[in-house]
Amino acid sequence: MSEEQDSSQNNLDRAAQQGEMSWPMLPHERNWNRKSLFVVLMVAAAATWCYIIGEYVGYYLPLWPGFFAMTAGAMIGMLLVTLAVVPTSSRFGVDSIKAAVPQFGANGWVITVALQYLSIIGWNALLLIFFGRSVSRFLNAVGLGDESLADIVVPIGTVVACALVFIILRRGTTGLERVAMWLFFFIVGVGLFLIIVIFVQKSDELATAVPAYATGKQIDFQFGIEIALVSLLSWWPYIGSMTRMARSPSIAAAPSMLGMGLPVPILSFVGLAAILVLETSDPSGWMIQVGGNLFGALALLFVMAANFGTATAGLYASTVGIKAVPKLGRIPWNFALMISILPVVFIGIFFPNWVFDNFGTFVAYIGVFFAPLCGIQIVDYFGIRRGRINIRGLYETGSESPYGYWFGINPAAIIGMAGGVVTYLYLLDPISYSVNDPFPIIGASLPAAAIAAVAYTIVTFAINKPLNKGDYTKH
Amino acid sequence: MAPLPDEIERRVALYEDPANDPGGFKPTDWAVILGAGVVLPIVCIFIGWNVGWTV
Repeated sequence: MSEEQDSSQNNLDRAAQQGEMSWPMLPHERNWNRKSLFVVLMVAAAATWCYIIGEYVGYYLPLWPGFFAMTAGAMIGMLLVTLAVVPTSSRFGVDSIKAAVPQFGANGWVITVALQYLSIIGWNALLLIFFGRSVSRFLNAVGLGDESLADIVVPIGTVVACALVFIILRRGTTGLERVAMWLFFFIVGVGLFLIIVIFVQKSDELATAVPAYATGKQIDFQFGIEIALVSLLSWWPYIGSMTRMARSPSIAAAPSMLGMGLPVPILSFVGLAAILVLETSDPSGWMIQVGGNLFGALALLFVMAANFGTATAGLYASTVGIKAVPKLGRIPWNFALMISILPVVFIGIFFPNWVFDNFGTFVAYIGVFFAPLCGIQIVDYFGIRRGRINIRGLYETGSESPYGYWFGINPAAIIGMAGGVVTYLYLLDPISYSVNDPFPIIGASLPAAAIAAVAYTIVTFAINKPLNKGDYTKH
Repeated sequence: MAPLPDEIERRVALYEDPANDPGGFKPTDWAVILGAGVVLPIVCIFIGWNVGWTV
């Protein structure tokens, strides 16, 4: 990392702690080129959650169909997120929440911040419980206790990890970005180790492995695409805070699609292969099964470090998001940090297994809300406004604000979101994974995004434009 | 309309000048975006549908 980037990171830390992160960044503060943005996005995306995404797809699909379905779904998800957030964030140097103000209204942050918060909390709970499980497996590998040890160690490990995250983040990132780079090599290294050993030791089993929940070719293939797609929709809260560091949408386009989209299916291949031949639903258990006690314990140490580091970065992002909320900008940094961390502690103590056992439900709910959100942003920016954004309007909050709508909320966005959510829930039940036609052909996220976009457009042309709401009249 | 705080006003005013607006995606960006987000998924769906099924 260059001195220029060091300096901009220090500025970001200061701005985050003082609640200034929602301000538009100045061109000289946005000094990431294509290469540095590509690396940062790749490091952010390639976390151990990829093992879990691949594992879940492996319940439905064999190795190669699973890999190609994941790649297709991930890239479609990345397309939606890129088109929704990047044009505004990298044009004006604003984060994902501010980028959604023209569509949701001056007080629309109520919706987008809530979604951001829940999504980041969910992923970080997953990572820190993965951390707790890895600690427990590591202790087993070095001869301490048996599998029942997890009942005690997982909650304690999660709480200790949360306490450490709090201590580290009290003073900002303090070099976290450098650690993140090393964690990337840990994650890829452990992934390569797993893949090589699995292919060498179990290639025959891998070629003939039958997925545990396989029911029919078409619906299983669509599940694979959908799971990867909705997983990538989770990047919505993260991507704006990173692409704003590029000076233009042109600089951010390729890193966004390729740097943040492609690493996920590639690294998820590890989880897919592992679940097919090892048939253990706990990724921390794979290391010992594959590498034996010595190499397994070593791999677990890397996984523990990687989970901890990624969760620390995620909880930092979540806290920055909280500080960017207009009403919460002035609360002390440590208090905002507690708001981010305490839900993870709660989940780690009371529902550690629920999060892992219901990963499919969690990511499907991501799709329920983020697919319509992306559909609305895309149709508004490219179709209705044709790229014309009132930068002043992003920061004015009164009823006369360009994006004041009614009480700061755009009814078109509410109706669009409702239409998209209902469409998704009709096509795919996030809890039971029961589906209705035409899910086997087109999935749930794309129709949900499309219906949300159509509903948003109709209400905009029927109500907002005639009543001069939403700053459309000049366009 | 209440004025914006000074520092936000300074930043907003800068981007209101069209000379500082970097604009949108260029044609080559669209080629990458649509290539990776539309063409690649279609190719993957075709290959995945035809290769490696064990059930």
